[in-house]
Amino acid sequence: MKLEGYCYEYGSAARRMATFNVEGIAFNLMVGDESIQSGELSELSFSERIGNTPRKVVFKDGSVFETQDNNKIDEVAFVGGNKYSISRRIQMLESKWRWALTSVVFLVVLGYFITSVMLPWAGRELAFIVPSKVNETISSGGIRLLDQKWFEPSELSDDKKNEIRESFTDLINTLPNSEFNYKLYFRNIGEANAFSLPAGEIILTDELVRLAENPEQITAILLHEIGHVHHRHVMQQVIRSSLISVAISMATSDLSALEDLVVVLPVFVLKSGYSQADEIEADAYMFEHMVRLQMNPIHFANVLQIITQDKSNIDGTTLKYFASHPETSKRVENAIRKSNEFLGDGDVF
Amino acid sequence: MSDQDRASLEFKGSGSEYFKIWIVNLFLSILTLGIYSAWAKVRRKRYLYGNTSIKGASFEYHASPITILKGRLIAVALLIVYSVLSELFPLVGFFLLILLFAFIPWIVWRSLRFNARMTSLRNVHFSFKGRLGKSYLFYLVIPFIFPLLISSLFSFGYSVLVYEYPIENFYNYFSDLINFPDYYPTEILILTVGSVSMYLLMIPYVQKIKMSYYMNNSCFGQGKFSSNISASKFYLIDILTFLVTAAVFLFPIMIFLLIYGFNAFFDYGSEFLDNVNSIVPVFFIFVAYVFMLSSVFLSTAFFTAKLRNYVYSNTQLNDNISVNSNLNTWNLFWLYLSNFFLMIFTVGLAYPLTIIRKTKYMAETVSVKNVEAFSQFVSQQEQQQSALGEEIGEAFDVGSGIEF
Repeated sequence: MKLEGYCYEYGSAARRMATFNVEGIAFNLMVGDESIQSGELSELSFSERIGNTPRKVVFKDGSVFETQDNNKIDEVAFVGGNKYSISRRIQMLESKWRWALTSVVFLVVLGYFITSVMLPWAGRELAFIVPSKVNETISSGGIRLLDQKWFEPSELSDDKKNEIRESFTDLINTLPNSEFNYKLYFRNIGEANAFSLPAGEIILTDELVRLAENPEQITAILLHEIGHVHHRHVMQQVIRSSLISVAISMATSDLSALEDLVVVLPVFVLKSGYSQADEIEADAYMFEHMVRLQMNPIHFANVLQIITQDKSNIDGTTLKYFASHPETSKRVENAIRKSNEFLGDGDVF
Repeated sequence: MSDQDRASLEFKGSGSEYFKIWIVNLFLSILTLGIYSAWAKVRRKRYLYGNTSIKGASFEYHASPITILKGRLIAVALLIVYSVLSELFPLVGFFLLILLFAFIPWIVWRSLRFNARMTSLRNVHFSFKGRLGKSYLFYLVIPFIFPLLISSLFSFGYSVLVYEYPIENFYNYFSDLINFPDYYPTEILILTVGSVSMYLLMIPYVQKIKMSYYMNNSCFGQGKFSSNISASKFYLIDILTFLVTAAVFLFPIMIFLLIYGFNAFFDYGSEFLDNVNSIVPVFFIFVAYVFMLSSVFLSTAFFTAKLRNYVYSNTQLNDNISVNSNLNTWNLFWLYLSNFFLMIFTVGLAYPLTIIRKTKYMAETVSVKNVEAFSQFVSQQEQQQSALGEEIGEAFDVGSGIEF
C-alpha cells in the first residue's frame, strides 16, 4: 500500500514530498528514491481521525509524515495495533447522520426533562437541605433595603393594622409547628400587592388592605405568602438560577458575545416559567389551610380579581395584557373549583 | 518578491460534517455529565484547525483533553461557588467580581500562552513570550488604575487649592467624599467625570497596547512576529466606528422626517395613539430589536474589518514573511446578520454551521507572502502548561480583547 504526503524532520518546518509504503507489518518512508525511515508499524503512533482533517504518523525519532489519505491510514493503523480504538469508535459515530439525528432527539428530550423535572426537583431537594439559618441570612436587611428603595411607610390607621395583626397571630398559631418566625409588615407602594421574604417576613400594601372586601380575603393573601415561605420558593429560585447559569455557561463556552443574545431569551422564559409554578404551589398551600380553617376558597378568587382589575385601571393599554394573562384566570378558576369542592364537602357533613 | 509567493489561508471544513461532530460530542458530553466535554472541545478545535491550511499544510491543535479537563473542573467549581454566593449575597458577589477583575490580566496571559503553545503549523509550534507584569500593566493599570489615580489627584488638588482642605489629611479624603457627599459636589464631579472620560478617551490607546503586546510577543518556532502599529490609526478607526454607529441610528429618524415632515414629529402623538392596537407595539418592538442588532452588527463588522486589516498588513514574521488581511465590512456584516437569523430560526441547531461560515471567511481573507521561507523554522522546547487560565477565562467569559 502506498500513501502520498509530506515528511518533516523532528521539530522542523522544512517539508519534503514523501511516499509511505506498507507491506504486511513493515513500512518504508521514501523521499524520491531514498528511503529515510523503515521498520515495523507497531513502532509508530497515529494521530486520531476527526472528519477529513490531515493525519500524522510520528516515527520513533520524532519525525513526522503527514497525509490526507484518511482511509488508507486507518487500515495501516489497524494493522499497526489500532492504538486509538476509542477515538476510532467516536469518529464512526461522528460520521453517521443517524447518530447525529439520534443525538438531536436525545438532546431535545433531555432538555425537556432537565428543565421540567430535574431542575425543579433539584431546587426542591436542595432548598430543604439548606439550613433555615441561611434563609434568615438572605432575608437580613431585606426589609431595610426595600424601605430605602421602594416602600413608603403605611398610612393605615392603627386600629386597622392591629385588627389584621391579631388575625395574623391567630392564623400563625393554627399552623403546624414551623421553623420560620412569621412577621407581618404594612407598607405603601401605591398599588395592591403582597410580598414575602425567605425568613418569614410578610408585607401587605395599604392599597391591598383597602381593596379587600372582608378579613377572609386578607387571610387568603396571607396564607398564599406563607405558602411561598413554607415551600422555600426564594431558595429554590436561587438554586435553580445558579444551576441554569452554570449549565448555560458550560454548554455555550465558545459562543461569542453577539451570539449570547440568543441565549438570554430562553433563560428568561425558563426563569419566569418557574415562578408561575411557584405561584400555583403557594395557592395550593393556601387552599389547603383555608379548607382546614373552614373558610371558603372563593375569597381568594374574589380578591385576585379585585387586584387585577385595579391594576388594569391604572394604565389601560400596557397592563391589559398582563391582567388578561391566562395564568391569572387559571388561578381564579382553580379557586372557584376549590370553593365548589369546599361547599360540596360541606353538604356531605 | 513576486505576487506568486502570496498564498491565502484555505478552509475546507463543511457545515454538515461539523454538525455531526458537534452534536455527537455534545450528546456524549451530557451522557458523561460534562466529563467528556474536554475531549469534545479538543475534537472540535482539531477539526477547525486541521481544515485550515496554507499551501497544503494545515494547522494542528495539540491540547490534551486531560489538561483541559483539569483546568475545566477547577473553573467550574469556581463558577458554581461564584454564582451561588452572588445569588445569595449580592454584596459578596460584587466583591468576588472585583477579585475576578484583579485576576483578569493573569487569566489573559495564561490563555494566550496556552493557546499559542497548543497550535502548530508545519510541525512547528507557536508560542507567546509576553511577561505577566506587562499584562497587568496593559489590562489593569493603564486602563483603570491610571485614570482613577490622575482624577483623584486633580480632585484632591482642587479641594486643597480652592477650599483649603488640609493637605496632611489626604488619607481621610475618600472617606470624607463618601460620608459627606453634599459638601464636596465639585470634587466628586471631577473624580467621577474625570476618570470616566479619561477611560473612554484612552480606549483606542489601550486597544493598541494590548494588540501590540500580543503581536510583538508571539513567536513561530524561533521566529518572532513584529507588528508596527500606531495609536493614531486606532483613534481614527474608533472615531469612524462611532460615526458609522451614529449614522445608522440617525438613518430611521431621517426617513421618518422625510415622509411625515418635521411637524409630524411634534403632534403625531394624539392621532397615532388613538389607533394603537395590541399588535402594533409587538411589531414595533420586533422591528426595533432587529434594527438595533443590525446596527450593532454593522459597527462591529466595520471595526473588526478595519482593525484586522490594519494590524495584519503591518505584521511580519522575522522580517521576510509578511501577512495581509482583506476583510470587507459588508461581507462581515452579512455574515453576522445571516448567522444570527440561522441561529434564531433553527433554535440554535445551526450553531456549527455558523462557526464554519465564520471560520471560513475569517481564514480565507488572510494571506501570507513568501510562504516557502517557513522552512527555516524549528520548534522551541517549552515546559508543559496547564489550561487553568484558558478554562477560567471561558467559564467567566473573560475576553482578551484581541480576538479576531
